[in-house]
Amino acid sequence: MPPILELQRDKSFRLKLMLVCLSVALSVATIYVVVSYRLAADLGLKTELDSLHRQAMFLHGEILLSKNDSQQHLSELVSLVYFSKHFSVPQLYIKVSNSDMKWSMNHNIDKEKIDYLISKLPVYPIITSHIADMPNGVTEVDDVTLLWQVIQDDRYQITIVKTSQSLDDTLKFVMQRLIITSVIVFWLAAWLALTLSSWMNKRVQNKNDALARLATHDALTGLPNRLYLTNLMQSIDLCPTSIDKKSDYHNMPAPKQGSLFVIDLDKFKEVNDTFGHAAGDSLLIDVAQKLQNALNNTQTLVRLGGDEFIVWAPEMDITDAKDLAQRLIEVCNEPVMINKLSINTGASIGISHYPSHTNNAESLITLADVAMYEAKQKRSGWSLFSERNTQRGHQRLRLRADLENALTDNQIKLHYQPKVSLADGQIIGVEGLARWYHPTDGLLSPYHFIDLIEQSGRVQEFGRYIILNAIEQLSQWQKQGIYTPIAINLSPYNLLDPELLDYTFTLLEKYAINSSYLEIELIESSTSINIDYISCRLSDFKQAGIKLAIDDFGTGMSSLSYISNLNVNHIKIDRSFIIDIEQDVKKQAVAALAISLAKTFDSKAIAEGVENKAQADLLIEMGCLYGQGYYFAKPMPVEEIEPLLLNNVFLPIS
Amino acid sequence: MKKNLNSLDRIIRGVVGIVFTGFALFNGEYLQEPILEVLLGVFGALNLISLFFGWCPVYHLAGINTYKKKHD
Repeated sequence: MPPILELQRDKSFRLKLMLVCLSVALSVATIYVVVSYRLAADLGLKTELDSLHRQAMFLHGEILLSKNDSQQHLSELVSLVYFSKHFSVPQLYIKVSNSDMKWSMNHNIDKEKIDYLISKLPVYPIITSHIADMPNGVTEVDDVTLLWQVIQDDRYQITIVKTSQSLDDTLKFVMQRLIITSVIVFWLAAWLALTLSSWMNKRVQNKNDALARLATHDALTGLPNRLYLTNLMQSIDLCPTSIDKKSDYHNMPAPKQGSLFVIDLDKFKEVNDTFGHAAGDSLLIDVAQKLQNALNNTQTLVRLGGDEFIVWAPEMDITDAKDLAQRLIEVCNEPVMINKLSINTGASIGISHYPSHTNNAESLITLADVAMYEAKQKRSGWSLFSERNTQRGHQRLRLRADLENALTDNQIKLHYQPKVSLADGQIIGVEGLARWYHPTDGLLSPYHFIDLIEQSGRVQEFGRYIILNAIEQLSQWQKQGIYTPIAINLSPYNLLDPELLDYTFTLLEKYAINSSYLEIELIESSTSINIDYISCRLSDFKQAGIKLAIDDFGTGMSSLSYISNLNVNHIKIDRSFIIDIEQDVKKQAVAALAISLAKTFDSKAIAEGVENKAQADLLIEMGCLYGQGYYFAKPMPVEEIEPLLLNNVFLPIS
Repeated sequence: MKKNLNSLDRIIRGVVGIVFTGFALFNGEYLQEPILEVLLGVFGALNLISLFFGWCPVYHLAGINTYKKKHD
């Protein structure tokens, strides 16, 4: 089972988003600072070079105009321009030379650097006819940026070198403004990242929550589902392997004990079949609501699917659990209004206790399920799991698993019990009864597996399997000259299979069997599902020539309704009315009623469970001509009944 | 306004707020850029609000709360 933790909050998401936002902000700020710095620096250098050019031109002009080229004059001029009180250049080198004079001054610039720079400058020897040339530029010498300007004409050559001041200034401005701007950009980015991440986080989280809720909750009732329960059970650490997940889920401490209830509604199937799925759904919603109201906050109600609910009550001992079970039964017994009819659903509850029964979450549910099954069988409302029914529970689980093989490997076979004419004991037909030849558990009667088949959803598959077996048997017998009808038991659920009639006919045709040799005995299985529909299906079978019988007449609720709607061929009086019939006047009355009903509807009355001659005689006296029971013969495998049929034996064999 | 800052967060914001507001108001000729001064002033003022009320508007929008953690 995948843990829901996968859907839980991704905590690193916000951090990642913030880191991304901040690194974007950082890189944008860096790019801006660098570009702005270079731009400012280039502008500054260009301005300085311009200015240097003008200074050089000015010096050149002065020298040309003064006609006084003494070095004294030059020194005065330079000091006036560059080293005044208000404005003083920190570093400067000037050299003026002509054919007969060489003057230079150096203020604070390393001599080696100057020499190196001069050697690189494009200075030409003075040529009389040389056109004035004014190269200038920026050269870096040992990490010091030097600006230089050379002016030369046919008489003078002037070289000015100074260090750049604009770079320092630029750096200063950048420090002041751009850094502060970057701080503000950073702040805005952090703000944006926080807001953005929380907004996205919230959206993702909402989606996650919705998904987690979808995954862990039942859409119909809104109750938690099996996945939720599994996670809950893991989180409360009934399984020692999941200690690390404990704190993540609901922060529940591991309980010292607890009780688990499996609740199964008794009549849900009937409501669903009779009133439709919408009514079934509204029943489930109502019951879920009622159950929820009966529980307190610490107890968890889970819908397992269908009409099965589970209640997990931590810290509840067995005594309290019994009380709660009783209360839940009462809650389920309260009538629910469906289609303006008050319907009383009823429920069976199985209880298992942790840790006295088991300390494993999965088997806790299984044990409660076993107990619930026990309660359903006994119709006792609730049942506490006990060691006594462990074995039975295990057997059930094993049988459930083996069921698939049973059908594919033909482990289920029909046994046959003769139906006889009471007067002379002649066999008029046989009833096919399913027996499971289980590889390890031996021969099993339907009591052990019919409800498993109904629960596993294989009812229709099983119905077809039985029909196939019966028709194959009929075919074999007819080849041997045995023309005895076989009756098979079908539950109303089988008749919900819309293809069943076609299936039966195809088989009858394939084996060339007359349809009158097949009888369908309708078990009511205490249900009264959609009578109209069932009647309609039955009438199709009847029209096709297949004989119909009402099984266990007198116990079901709808027998009379079937009889009045359909002309059934046989009415089988339930064995409970035949046992002790010779002493019990009331049972005689019921039997007499059944017999007279059968006469009215032109059906044969067949008494089930005839155990002695006195009963047979009494029944003949009352007008019932047919019977079956241990007095005549038990159900027997095909090898045993074949000789009886072949030899046309009259029962009982005395 | 519900508090959403723990005391350390609050103190850091207080210091940042005082420094930035002070700088924005009293930097003299240092910045020479009114836009920056206004932005710094806003930044400082928001931090000062956080100092006084123990509440940060951005945390509020982002749904972050550092106040509870100390008391859990």
